[in-house]
Amino acid sequence: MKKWIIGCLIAAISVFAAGCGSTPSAGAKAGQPHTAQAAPDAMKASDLQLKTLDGKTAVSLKELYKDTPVYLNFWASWCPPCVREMPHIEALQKQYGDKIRFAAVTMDQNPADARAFIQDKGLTLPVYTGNLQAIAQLYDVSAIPVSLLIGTDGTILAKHVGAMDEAELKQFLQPAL
Amino acid sequence: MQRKNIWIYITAVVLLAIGLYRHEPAAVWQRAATICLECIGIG
Amino acid sequence: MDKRHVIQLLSAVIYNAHVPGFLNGRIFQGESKAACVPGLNCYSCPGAIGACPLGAFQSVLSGTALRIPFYVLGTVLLFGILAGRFICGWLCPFGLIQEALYRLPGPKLRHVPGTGILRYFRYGIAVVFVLILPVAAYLISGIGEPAFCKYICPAGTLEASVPLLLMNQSLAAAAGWITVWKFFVLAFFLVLMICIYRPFCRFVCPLGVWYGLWNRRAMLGIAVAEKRCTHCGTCHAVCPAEAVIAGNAECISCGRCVESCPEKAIYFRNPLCDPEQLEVKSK
Repeated sequence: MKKWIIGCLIAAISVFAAGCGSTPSAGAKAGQPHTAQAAPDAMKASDLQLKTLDGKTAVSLKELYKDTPVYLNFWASWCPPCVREMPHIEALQKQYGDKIRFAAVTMDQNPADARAFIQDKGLTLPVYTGNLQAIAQLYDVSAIPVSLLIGTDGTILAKHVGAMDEAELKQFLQPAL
Repeated sequence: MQRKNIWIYITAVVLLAIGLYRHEPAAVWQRAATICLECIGIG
Repeated sequence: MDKRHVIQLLSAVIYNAHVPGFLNGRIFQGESKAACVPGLNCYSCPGAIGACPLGAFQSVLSGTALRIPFYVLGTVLLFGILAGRFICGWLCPFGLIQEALYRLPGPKLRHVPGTGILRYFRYGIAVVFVLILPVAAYLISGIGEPAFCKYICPAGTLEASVPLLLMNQSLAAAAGWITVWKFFVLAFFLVLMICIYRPFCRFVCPLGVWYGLWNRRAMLGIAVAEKRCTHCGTCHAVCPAEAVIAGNAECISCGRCVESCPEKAIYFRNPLCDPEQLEVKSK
């Protein structure tokens, strides 16, 4: 009987440890902002054809990062972590908007939902939409929110999956500042 | 099918109809087809 | 392997038929994800081809707006009135996982002390984590959350977290304290499942709470012929889930009690057959 209790405890600790083991930043999050995961070497941002939410203006991603590095956020109005992150992004746009171009791409199936959300919250962050399937494939957006930092040569300087607070976002933007 | 359950079946169908009218299957799809970060402990 | 286990296994395979997902860590995005499967099966599981009814309910209920999830409600009401907790016993992959773990050698707690009170624990969990917290989060912060999925659901941790964190580097990098908590909850349940028969189903699962409400009325599942029942308690004694009587809100229709009833009062409802005729037949 004792053997089994010990066996079960070992199994429980292993599963628990596996959970801890997969959280290299668990310790870091406690005190410091989470550092952005370095993007795979020399990964270039594929060009994307985007359009504004009212469908009137077309924009290509290349145009966005031509002159200034771009912070791109993939989000959706129905996604709570994405929405939680928005005010922080807006605040950082106010702070660094002269050095980095901030933009967001909504994965909302219905762009009107995104537009309603933006208007409701009075956000100034430019939001675009596009071919959601192409976006998901090209940028490996299987979970949201995803933050990308793109350099003027199109290199992906940093990528992060999951919501970030202001301190973490600031840290994330460092490679472009 | 027990006759006393007929109203429950009707209610279910009405609820489904309202949901379909409000495009809720699309809403369910969006949430189910994107990794729910909160569900996997990242949130 | 009896009929029930075969059907459990088949449903687990069907709900998670997106095999490529297990190989590349990508979840399925096909249209079938707009439909809820009857059992508990995390929609972030790489193999899942349908939506989890519990996850869908919470995330449509509260996100950036509060909404009554009519479509999900209609779906689970239909599932409930058709099959009640027959779904739990025959069509839920997480139930299958628990039963498999219970078969592992180890100490078995056949009678769980405090079952009388513990069985009501799941009603509290359902109301608090599936209804109150998601709505409260929205009212307080303007953003809702799927509280049961986020803080508790071990099915999500096992079926989605484990494969995704293993296969997807960028997700693993984003893990934090809530990940640790969820794995702790999973570890706790995994150990419990070896020692206790289906503890999650009996004491926690909110979906089981809902289906249990319809158990006595459902078209499928275990029933007791009232005219023949003498309330001897034999079915309770043999029930692995310690249901007070066959066919009640705790009963998952595993069928183990059918042979044990001295009055032959327990039977599986057959929608094609009138229960009155069934009574006459078995006399």
